[in-house]
Amino acid sequence: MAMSGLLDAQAPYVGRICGAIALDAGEDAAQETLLTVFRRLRSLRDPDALHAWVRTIAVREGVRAARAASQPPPARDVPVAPLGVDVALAGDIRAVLERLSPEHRAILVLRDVHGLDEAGAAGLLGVARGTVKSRLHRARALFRRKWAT
Amino acid sequence: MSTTFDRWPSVELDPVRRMRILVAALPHAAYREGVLDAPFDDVWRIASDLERGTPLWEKNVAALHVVGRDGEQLEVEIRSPFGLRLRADAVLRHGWCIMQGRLFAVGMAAAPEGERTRFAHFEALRVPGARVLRPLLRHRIHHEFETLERLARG
Repeated sequence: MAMSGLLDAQAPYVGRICGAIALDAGEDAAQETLLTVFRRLRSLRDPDALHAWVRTIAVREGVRAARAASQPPPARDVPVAPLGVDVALAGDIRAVLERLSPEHRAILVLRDVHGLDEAGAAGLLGVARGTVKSRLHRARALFRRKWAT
Repeated sequence: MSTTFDRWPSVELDPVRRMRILVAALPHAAYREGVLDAPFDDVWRIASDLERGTPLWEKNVAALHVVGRDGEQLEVEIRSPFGLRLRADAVLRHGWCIMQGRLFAVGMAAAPEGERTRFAHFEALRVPGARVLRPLLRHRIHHEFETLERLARG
């Protein structure tokens, strides 16, 4: 029953991360994430670290699944648009995210949705802080441009 | 970004996918998953009718009574074919049911697959030597699937 409760608690969280990063491959990514979590649960020493641990696996699995699904690379010939995105529909956001790479979706999810700092995002993604900074800058710019078009 | 996370794309796993995950944490569980040649509503009508349906297809259950209910949380009393009486906590919701007693845990999940039904079922004994019994449980579950399919098809 404890495991079932844990699944109930974590599945929506994982579904949001994997859905935003992996899009059409989101269900497979979420399932693989939770399979990994449940198989390795006994290795988790600090229960307080559960949330961050799950998030790390979900982000990495989301990027991996999106790459495997061979989603098209982002278009790069769109003019720059004004800032101040006003979100109305989830479908619109999805359409914009579909035009970003999995890595850009992941950095947006970590920094702008989950509020991770640069160091936290760098550690989770296994890249340098400078890479996080430049990738985030690029991802935000692309998001705004795609949104405006 | 002025977006909010609840407007971002999200995915929800169906009950069978969730059951696969739960079983990953139960190394001694006997698990089987398959497609039953019957519509989801017909399968789940029988599978979710714990008192009248379960004894018809679950070989370890001679009788089952719901003795307590709080929303989707149930307390059940099970009588085995050998007369053993066992209490268990259960969760029953659309397409999903798990029960856990002191000596065992069982679960079932179902999801539509076209006109048919993907069905998953696990049984796990919480006793020494449970691993040895797993092949026997798996074999029995196979027959339970056949029975449930036959019942669902009327």
